[in-house]
Amino acid sequence: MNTLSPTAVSPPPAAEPVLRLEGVSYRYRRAATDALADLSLDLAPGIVGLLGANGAGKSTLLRLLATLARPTRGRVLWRGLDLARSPDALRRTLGYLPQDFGVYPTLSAREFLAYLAAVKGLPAAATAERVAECLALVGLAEAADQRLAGFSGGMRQRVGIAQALLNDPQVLVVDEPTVGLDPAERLRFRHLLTELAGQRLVLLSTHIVSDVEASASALVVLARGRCCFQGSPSALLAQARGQVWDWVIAPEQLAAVQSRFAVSQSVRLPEGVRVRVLSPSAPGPDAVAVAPTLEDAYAHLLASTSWLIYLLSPLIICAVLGPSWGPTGARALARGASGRCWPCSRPPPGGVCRRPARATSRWRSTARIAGCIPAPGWAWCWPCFTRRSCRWWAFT
Amino acid sequence: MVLALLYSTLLSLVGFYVVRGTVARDFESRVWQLLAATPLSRAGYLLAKWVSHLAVLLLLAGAGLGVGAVAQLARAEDAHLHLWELLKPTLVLSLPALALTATLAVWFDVLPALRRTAGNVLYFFVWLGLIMGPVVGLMSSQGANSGWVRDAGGLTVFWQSVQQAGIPGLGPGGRDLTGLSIGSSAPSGETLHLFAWPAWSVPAGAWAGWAGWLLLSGLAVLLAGPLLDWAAGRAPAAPTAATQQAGRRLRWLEILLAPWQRSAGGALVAAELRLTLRARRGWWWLALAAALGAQAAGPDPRVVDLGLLGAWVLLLDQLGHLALRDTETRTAAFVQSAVGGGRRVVLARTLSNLLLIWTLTLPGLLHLLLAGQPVAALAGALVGLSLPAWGLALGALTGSARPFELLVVVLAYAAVQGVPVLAVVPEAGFTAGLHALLLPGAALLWHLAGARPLAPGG
Repeated sequence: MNTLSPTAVSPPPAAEPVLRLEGVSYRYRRAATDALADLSLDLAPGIVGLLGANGAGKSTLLRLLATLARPTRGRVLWRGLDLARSPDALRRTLGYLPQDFGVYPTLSAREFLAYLAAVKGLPAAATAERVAECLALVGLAEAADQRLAGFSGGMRQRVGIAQALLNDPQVLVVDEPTVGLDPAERLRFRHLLTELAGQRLVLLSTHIVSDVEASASALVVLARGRCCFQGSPSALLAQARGQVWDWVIAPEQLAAVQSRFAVSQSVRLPEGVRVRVLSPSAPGPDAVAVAPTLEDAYAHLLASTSWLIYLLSPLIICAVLGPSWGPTGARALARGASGRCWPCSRPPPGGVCRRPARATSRWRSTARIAGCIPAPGWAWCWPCFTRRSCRWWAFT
Repeated sequence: MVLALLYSTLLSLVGFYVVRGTVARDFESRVWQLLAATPLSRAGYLLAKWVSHLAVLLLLAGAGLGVGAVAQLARAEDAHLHLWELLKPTLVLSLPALALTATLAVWFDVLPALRRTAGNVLYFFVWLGLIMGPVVGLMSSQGANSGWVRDAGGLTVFWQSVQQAGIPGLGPGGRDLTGLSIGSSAPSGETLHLFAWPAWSVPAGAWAGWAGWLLLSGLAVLLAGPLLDWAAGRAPAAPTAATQQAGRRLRWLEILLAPWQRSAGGALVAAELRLTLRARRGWWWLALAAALGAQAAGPDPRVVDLGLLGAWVLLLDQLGHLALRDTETRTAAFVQSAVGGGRRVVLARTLSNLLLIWTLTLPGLLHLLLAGQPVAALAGALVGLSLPAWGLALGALTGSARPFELLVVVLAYAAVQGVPVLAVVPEAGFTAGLHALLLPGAALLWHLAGARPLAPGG
């Protein structure tokens, strides 16, 4: 279910939520905007795929959940306990694989894991056995006694995964775990996650949709620090149903199609270019509706929510567009309808519009929903509510 | 003039540690690969680095001059401010020294062996040579007239100017340097002589020497150009740069550490010792053998003292990075997300380093004890306790190993000269008392700087 309101969520999960975020915001020092903004989530055991573009706030969210940072506003609750006050409640049962981590090259994989087992406070008597188990789980049993300096990137990544499993965690937070893994290793990792899920909460952050498609039972999609979807993969797929089109076009049409529609795939064939287009209606007479993949649905979600994300971020609007509220917006809408770029409204360079005009119709409905209708006197800017005239409507 | 001489001497020491590291950072972060693929020439890159280093040093000098101007207006006998006279000594005396410092900062980054602690230590002695060379020359019979071309710091020019100015209290012939002190008041028992020196006329030839040193510094930077690609290829990736090599096997160490593996705490201490010792190179073990030999068989307590000093200096890089290793190796997230992980690691790291430092100085301490100098042995043990504590505290406070390394190198040099801070034999009671008193300070500093709770926001 599409949840543009931070508090709105998908149908209740099957299991009881164990990890809850209540209005969580996080702002980095000296940053102008929040990296996470008013995020509310309920996370139950199972594999939760966390999707989002680069810079969407995935790693920041995972750092909060790994108790490495504290929210600027709001609370993160683990079984009802506020992590800002009691981080150890979660740490005892947390496995965390950061996106960017290092190892000690002078230690072997076995020694490194034994070191981290001691850091985690695992009993010394059980350490050797547990370390061996974890190494076997990630397929490093044979390389266990080799120094980490000689490990490839993929092998180091597997060491990172193994260390996250050392304390048999109830919450496993993995940030871009498949980066650097070859296809076979990725497959093995997906199977491992599925095996581990059970009664655990596995939070898998990635921007590779196929990783979550294969294993996630629930999805959270972040865009610009806000949650724009929480629900099952099938719910996300349902949103895109009837909006994905397979269309064979002439090669010279490709640029124009790319400018007018979101194109998720394009393959050059002898008879033309086969494109996969996201559009609410048929993009052309010979376009054929096809079943969406999760990647299509994700792209559709991002495309359809980007305007609302703008609306929910007054600071971004005014920083990017500049405040200038005025009646020229109507003209701009007309220009948008005539095929010019939105929101820059410049004539398409070389006839290619990088901001598709199709956005204009969506913008109209979005503006209506958000209350952006001409107000008497045009004096007040929405959504920043300043008296300065806002260029929100004046795209010149 | 005083400010200019301070910049020539002290800023060229401290400034080096401030500006160095930018070329090495480009290598380690692989930014160099991006730069190398652009039309930017090697010479242009090096000159840009050199100029940026020099600009930072001049900025520091400029801040000092501002303070000097305010001091002149507020406190000096003559409240008239002559801006050119204020600036002139810095430009003439300090600029070449700072330019040379900027050059050396680039070269110490380019040469792989000098990028880290070894370079930090070596630079102190290079700096010492650059300062002491002209002083020794001046004290010789011909020194004062030999011209400033041999002296980037401008001490020769300064001394020529002092002689020409006829300043009282310099002894016959104006060659008595014992009365010269930069940055401190008169020696005890002597009186200060006030004299008016409102304008300084730069000696003939000084400008030529000035230009010569600047040119030489610039050319010396350019000489590093052909080495850049070779040097970049020998830079490991940043996060594990200090310990990228797999290190030595050290089977004897495994035998020694085997019993430690039976407890979680012991395993941590053992891992810390492995991390420290496996990464050591051959020359380190040879130097350690020499230090241990001096400690055990030194015929004179002073030799034992030097052996102890050698062992401490050999652990300098380790002690300087105590608080920084998790960040530098990007393992901090593992440690901090574990219950009590940070506390366990700090405890284990402190214990392992105490164990190491005391083990490496044990022959010397026993030697002193057997030679009837128990207070000196106690002082040695206390220094062994104090150094890791201060390494931890200063590392946590500054986020860098350089301040600690510089401090220890200066103190080690002072110890060789007999100053009883790291020298345990000359005044053992003083050294022991000083370190015993300083220990709580280190603990407090570490607590304030390093023991931060979970912080909201970035």
